[in-house]
Amino acid sequence: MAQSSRRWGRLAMAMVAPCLLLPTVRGQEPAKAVDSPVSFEKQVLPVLQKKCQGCHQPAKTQGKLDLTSFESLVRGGETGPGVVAGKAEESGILDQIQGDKPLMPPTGPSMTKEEVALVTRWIAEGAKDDTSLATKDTIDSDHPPVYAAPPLTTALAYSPDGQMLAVSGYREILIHNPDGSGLRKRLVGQSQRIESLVFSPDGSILASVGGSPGRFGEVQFWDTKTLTLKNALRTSYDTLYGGAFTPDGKRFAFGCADNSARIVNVEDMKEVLRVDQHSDWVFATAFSREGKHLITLGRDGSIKLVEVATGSFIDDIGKNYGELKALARNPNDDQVVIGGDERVPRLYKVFRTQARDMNYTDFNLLRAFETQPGGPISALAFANDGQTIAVGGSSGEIRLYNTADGARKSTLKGFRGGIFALTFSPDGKRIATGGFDGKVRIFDTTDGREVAGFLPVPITGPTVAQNP
Amino acid sequence: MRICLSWLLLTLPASVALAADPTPPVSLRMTPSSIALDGARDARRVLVTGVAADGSTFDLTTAAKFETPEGLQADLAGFFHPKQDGQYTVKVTAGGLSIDLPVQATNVAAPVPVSFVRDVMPAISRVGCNAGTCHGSAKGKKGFKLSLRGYDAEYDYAQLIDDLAGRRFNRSAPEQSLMLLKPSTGVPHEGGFVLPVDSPQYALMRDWIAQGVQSDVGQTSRAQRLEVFPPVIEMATEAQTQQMLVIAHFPDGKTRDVTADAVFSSSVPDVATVTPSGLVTSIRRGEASILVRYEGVYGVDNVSIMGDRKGYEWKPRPNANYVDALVDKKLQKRKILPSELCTDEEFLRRASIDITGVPPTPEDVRAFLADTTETMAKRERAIDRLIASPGFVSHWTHKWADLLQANRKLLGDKSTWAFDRWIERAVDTNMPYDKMVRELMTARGGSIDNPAVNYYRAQKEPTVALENATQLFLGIRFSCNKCHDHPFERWTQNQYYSMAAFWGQVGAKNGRVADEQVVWDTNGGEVTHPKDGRVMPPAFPFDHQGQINKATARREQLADWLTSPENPYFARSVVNRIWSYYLGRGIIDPVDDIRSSNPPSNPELLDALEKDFVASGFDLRHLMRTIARSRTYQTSIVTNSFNSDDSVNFSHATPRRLTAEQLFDAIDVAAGRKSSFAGVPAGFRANQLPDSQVGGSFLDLFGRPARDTPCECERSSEVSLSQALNLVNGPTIADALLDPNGRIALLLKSNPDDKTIVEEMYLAALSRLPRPDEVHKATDYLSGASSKAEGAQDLLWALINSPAFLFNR
Repeated sequence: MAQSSRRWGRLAMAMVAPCLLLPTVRGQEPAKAVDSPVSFEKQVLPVLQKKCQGCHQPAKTQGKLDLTSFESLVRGGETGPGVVAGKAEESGILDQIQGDKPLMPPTGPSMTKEEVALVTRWIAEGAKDDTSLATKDTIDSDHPPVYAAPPLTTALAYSPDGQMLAVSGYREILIHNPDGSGLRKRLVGQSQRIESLVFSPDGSILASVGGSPGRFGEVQFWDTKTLTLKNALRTSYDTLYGGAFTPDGKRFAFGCADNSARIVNVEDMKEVLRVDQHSDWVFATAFSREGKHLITLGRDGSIKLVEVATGSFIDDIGKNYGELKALARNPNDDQVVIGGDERVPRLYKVFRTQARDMNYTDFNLLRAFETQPGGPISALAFANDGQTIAVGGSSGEIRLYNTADGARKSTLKGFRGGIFALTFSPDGKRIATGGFDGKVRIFDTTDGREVAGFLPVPITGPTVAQNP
Repeated sequence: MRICLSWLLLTLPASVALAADPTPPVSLRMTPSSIALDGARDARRVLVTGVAADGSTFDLTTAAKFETPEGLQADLAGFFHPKQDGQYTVKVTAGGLSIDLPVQATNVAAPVPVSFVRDVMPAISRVGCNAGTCHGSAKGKKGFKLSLRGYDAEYDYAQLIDDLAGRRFNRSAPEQSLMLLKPSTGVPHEGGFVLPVDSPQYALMRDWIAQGVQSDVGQTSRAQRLEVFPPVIEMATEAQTQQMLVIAHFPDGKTRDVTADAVFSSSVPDVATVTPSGLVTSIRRGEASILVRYEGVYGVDNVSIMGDRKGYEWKPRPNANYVDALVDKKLQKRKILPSELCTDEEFLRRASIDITGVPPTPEDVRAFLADTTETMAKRERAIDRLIASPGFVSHWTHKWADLLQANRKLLGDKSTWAFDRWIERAVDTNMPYDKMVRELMTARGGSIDNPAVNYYRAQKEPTVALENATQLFLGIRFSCNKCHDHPFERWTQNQYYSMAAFWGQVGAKNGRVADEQVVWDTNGGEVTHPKDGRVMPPAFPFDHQGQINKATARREQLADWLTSPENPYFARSVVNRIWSYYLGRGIIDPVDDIRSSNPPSNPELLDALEKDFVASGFDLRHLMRTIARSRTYQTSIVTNSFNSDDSVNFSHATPRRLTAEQLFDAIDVAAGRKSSFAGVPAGFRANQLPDSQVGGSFLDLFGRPARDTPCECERSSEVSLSQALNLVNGPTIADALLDPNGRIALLLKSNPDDKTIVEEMYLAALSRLPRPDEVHKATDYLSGASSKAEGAQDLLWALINSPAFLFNR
């Protein structure tokens, strides 16, 4: 028994072996085509993507090295330039990836011999950047996105005069009539997600804050008269969040996934302040009534107060109850309402009137509202008169509360999935809402009646995936 | 390149020549013998087995060739995919033979929406996103957290769809979804490249997003059980392979071939390895288990590799009882020859230490050696005598007191003593084990009047009571599923809190006298789930056929369920535990971690012991007697060439270091000393101490348990440098040797000759007479010593420091 089994076991192995070897033979073939030069975009970048970018990316520049773009690869890191055109011996990257036991990557599979050869040859051939040639974006204002399914509604804003409603889309902002009666204009860009839409106090500018997850963040300022792009800023490596204008409309704050909050000049996009008080993403910003202080809210569960003129940290406004997601400031008072994973909306005064104590007593807390059903709170809004607060989240319902006594005024229902965006009309009579189900719904705030519901984008066909 | 090619050309004909081997298989077999594919996404494979003329079998799956007709497609991994409805025949060729595989394909054109529960969750697990080192870790990774290995689909759905306003998927452009871009490194991902764009997992996730990220959590059930093929894997030699096949069964009667999605791991990779696709390769002779997991259900395949057994020939040995018969059966199966019977001296020392915790005195040894009764009969009598001795009661009282956590830090002085007396009475009267556990589980009243309630005093809250009781009385670990479903077993977090609820209504308050506590059933109080605060009604983690009186207090119901003969873990775990005390290793090992991925080395033996134990009325003495009487227990530690590498089949005895108490008491026996410990009556041995707060540092140094938990692991049998130094130079042995009323002092009064001294020292320390060469060496030493007393002390010191003394062999 042992005899025959042994022999046949070996036979099985012997018959597998040639199959295992075949791909190696085939894998050699492309090497024959020595004539065509190596493409950075098509051949080198994919290798860097799979084996290097986990640690060498904007979000985690280990060794001060970023290998996600041609420019940053050439620039290199701590140990010098990554690539010098035509000079293999001066190109730092080759020292790291060559040899029987290459230094990089420290864990996981090393580059194959073919991959190393490819990078080497690309450098020898002059390290040409063909990135822009290979990327051709087919979406622009003349060719707006085509939808097979509605995008998530992640941001909504009424203009101060109440004449337009801005709605987030995929790579665009959609300007609708305030009652949902028609789509006026599509403002197309490259950011896949719009996390926040804000009109300047005088209504002349619509700010859009967002980006593409894991790739870039972007702030855009649109002229509301002409509905053309006035100014744009790309920064950070992930989507941006929670925009806010100063009361004079000259400066603009937003939060970042690099744990910072920034303030830029609206006019020239110059950064005037960077706040690094948070230990996690910053989801929301607001200015105090006079505009002298910035309030930032983070995923780390804290609400920070910072003096704009000096950048000095002033205070932690509230106690930490876990991850926070949303913040809204009372338009008429230095009060903020916040919410997150704990599901309890809390109203705080911005400026402390009682000194801190050892127990982290929540002295600034004015009111804790009832616990929301379902999951985390993700959207909050104040009516312009400051007397009503709207709360939305994973539960898929919206609750309206009296600021003064915390009493629930009404509950808005009928959504499929979570609520991600809320905005009151300037007169406070309407509230526009949106979220997972992709439909924008407008309710009457006095009786909780749904007065309009519409899909913000035309659904016409299969979406073409793009890679900006 | 050219070299590589020519090498290939040379080798290819060679393997063809091998294929034309003169002894091919005489027939082929397939598992399953036919395939039914239901729907476009159904894909299944077969195992191809060659049968040799002598009936032995071997795997030909990887070598087999499949000729698929139009309408079917076979992929590189060997799965058949339907393209069109129909009845097909695939021609399977392997080892020079062919066989037909009937394949039926239905509903190929019907749309099959991607299910979150049945398609996306398994894909996430297979890719490894929810692994404990990645997003499944307690805090997630980089702000994205999934439930560990996907036990909580509802949570994971919320994380993917709802968290951060739906950032991780993109309904408008599915390929642009972050959950696809990250693992396929369309955007940088610290977790690396784990999801190729052309993989089936990618396609499932993309389609699911395109179809609108629908959740079927709560509507679609997960797999109920796994079926693993072949049921056992037996391989003759090293470097053989066997493909595995895994079928998941669902509550709705559907099945799915999940070989490509299941996760495989080997318990002993030195013996057998397994690839992610379920191909097992034998590495060396031995036994291993391949654990298969898929979406919270588990399967195990036991692998045994025979290896070279040239010259093996089974020699029947007389069986003392069924234990030997079943051990021998397994030994023959694995071609292992057991060791010889140990000597009478070895037997007496081993049995005395195992049964009473103390080695025999020189008088005991002399009497036993002088008895001329037939060996096995003589040994049986010795076993009976030892089990009936007071030493048995002390030893097992001490052992149970360890496990039941008799500990004055928790109980106070008085109650500790009371509890110790209660356990002693239970052992002395041979209280049936089920009755003993029932009394402990249901005890109420004052801790001095009814000392059994002291068991509860170590179980401060329902969750602690649950974890301790399941580990101690069922041998299963429930501590993992406190925070998440058990990663290697079917136990869930819900079961944890439902079962803890049985302890939710136990009240405790101070009694009238110091150290006294009163325990009673409050009939109020609930256990809540930490995730959402819901009240968990009491429920058992599994049902059995035993009688449970639902009208009684929760603890009574619990005792009914726990101690029932129908409970598949209760008797089994204690039988295994007691076995490990006698043989040095459980049939399932570790003894208090019974799970499907930790299978018994001899299931038939464990079954038989369990059955016998239950039939005897849960009689622990009967169980111990049965074990001790077996030849298996009485084998020598000397191995032969056919069992030297065996550590799991009980073919030879294994030396075990004496426990702290055994060591201390053995030193006393050897030196003829009567120790007196502070805080207990004079003459108490170490194994009569009521708890670990008395007795001193020597016992702690040698690893006696603090009794903080009921885990066997609390007792340490490690060997350390400080132990060695203590043995060589420490006061415990020195004082014992110099005791003015000790063995050496008394012996010297009779003015013995050197040979008598040597014999007495050997008997005292090693329970045997010295060999002539040992007598010669030792008398030589004594004659050169400065005094007889010093010489004798030196000799006894040396013997105590020898492995023969320090180990139970």
